[in-house]
Amino acid sequence: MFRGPVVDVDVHHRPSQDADLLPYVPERSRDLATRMVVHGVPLEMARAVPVMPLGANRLDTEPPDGSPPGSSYEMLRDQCLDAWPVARCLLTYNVGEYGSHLNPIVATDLCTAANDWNIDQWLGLDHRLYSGIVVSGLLPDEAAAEVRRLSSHPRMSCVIMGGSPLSRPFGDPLYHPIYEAAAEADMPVVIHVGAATLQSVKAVAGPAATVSEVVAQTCLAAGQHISSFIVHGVFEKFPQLKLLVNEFGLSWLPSLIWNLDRDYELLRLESPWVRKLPSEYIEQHVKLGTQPLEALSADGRDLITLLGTIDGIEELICFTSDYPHYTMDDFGFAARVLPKAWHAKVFSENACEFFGWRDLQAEEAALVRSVA
Amino acid sequence: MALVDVAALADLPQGVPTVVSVGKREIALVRVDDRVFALRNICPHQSQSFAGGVVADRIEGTGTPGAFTVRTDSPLLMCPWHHWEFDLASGKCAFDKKLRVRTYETVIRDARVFIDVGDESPRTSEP
Repeated sequence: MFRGPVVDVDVHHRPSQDADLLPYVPERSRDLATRMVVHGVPLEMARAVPVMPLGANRLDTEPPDGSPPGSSYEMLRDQCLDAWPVARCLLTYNVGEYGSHLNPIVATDLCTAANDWNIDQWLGLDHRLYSGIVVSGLLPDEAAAEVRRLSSHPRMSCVIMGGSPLSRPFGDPLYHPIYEAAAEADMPVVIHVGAATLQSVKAVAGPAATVSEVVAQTCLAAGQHISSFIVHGVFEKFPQLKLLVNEFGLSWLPSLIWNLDRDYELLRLESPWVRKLPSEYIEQHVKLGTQPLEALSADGRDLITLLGTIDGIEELICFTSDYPHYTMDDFGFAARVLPKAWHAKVFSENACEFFGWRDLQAEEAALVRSVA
Repeated sequence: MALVDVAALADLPQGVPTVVSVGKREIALVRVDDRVFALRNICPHQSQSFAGGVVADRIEGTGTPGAFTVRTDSPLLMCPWHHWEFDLASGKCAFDKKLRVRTYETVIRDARVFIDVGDESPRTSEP
């Protein structure tokens, strides 16, 4: 079992109630947001996919006062941070779909409110808590301004794409002002199931009727976003930019890489600015969260055999628990499924390097020296 | 039989697991009406505790799309983590009969609950 400090880059937190966000909503949307709360309209956009029949969370994560899972720091600390234990985590809101509202002003302002609430209410609670600047894709220039406003905050480590109701994958030039600001700030971009699947999944063959279909097919959206980043030359335009895709699983990655590389000549014809094989862009710019680990056998041998077809796969993946959602992976389960030789990278080093958490890397190195 | 006194019947709430320790084992006790079921407190999926889980009725398909039955005579224990369900009496997973949680016989005497931890052989399929 891996004994080093665990880094978990997908832990969900949220307000106890939507009204908690209202003091942080910019003036131009505050009246409207207040009316939404009064009339029970969710500030975080409900996903346009079927509803989980048993709810979206672990049953034992609901605070005793009935507020939603992920809203209690004490429970998050006890059930996630202290349980494994976690040296650092990335708080990712409750997916952060504020940016998916159809009204672009509301979407933008709710993202601003969520960011300021996050800084004010959460990031000072524990030295292990880090997070990201959530933005909407609807007003990219305003989203870029939001990134520049908050990028110097020491606990804001990335830009989280909080959704876009436009049927355009996230590599589209429409969103490039956001990536320009992220690259300027040397911040990676994080996309997550939900905010990144609002349109994609149902666009493939029509809306899914059940959660089973959605869960099985969300990987299609991840492939679509990564392909979009490559074909639109995002990584050529912003050579330092990095991308983390969370909660899409892993088993689809070999297929995506094989297919993109196979049609490289077509890619060069359509996107002449692409100068490397897609697999090279993925290797150099993209990381994937591990959850949900799609292990069918108890020891995960089937999944590891499949992933082993990608050279250096252990460099590409970062541990994610997805606490408190019901599809979450326990650290111990992940440690049993993933080969021990991968543990240091997957459970710590890859994320530290990706997010530029050099202080934690230094702490780990000191720990290793002291153990030795 | 190696009966161990583990709880007062009146202390067990209906329909939710109560975890007790017997030696080095953790046992989840689940009361349904006046019956008490005892299962090893390790979910075979990701090895989590059943604490915080709930009891659910068994929903079974009939083979005809849209048709199903709800059985209340063989309650299931739902793990709080990923909602996997296990038959309280047999420990069998509701959707994968190869998976099974170790179960223990229970005896209620004088309003006390006893479990038999002496027989380890027939029902064990732990991770």
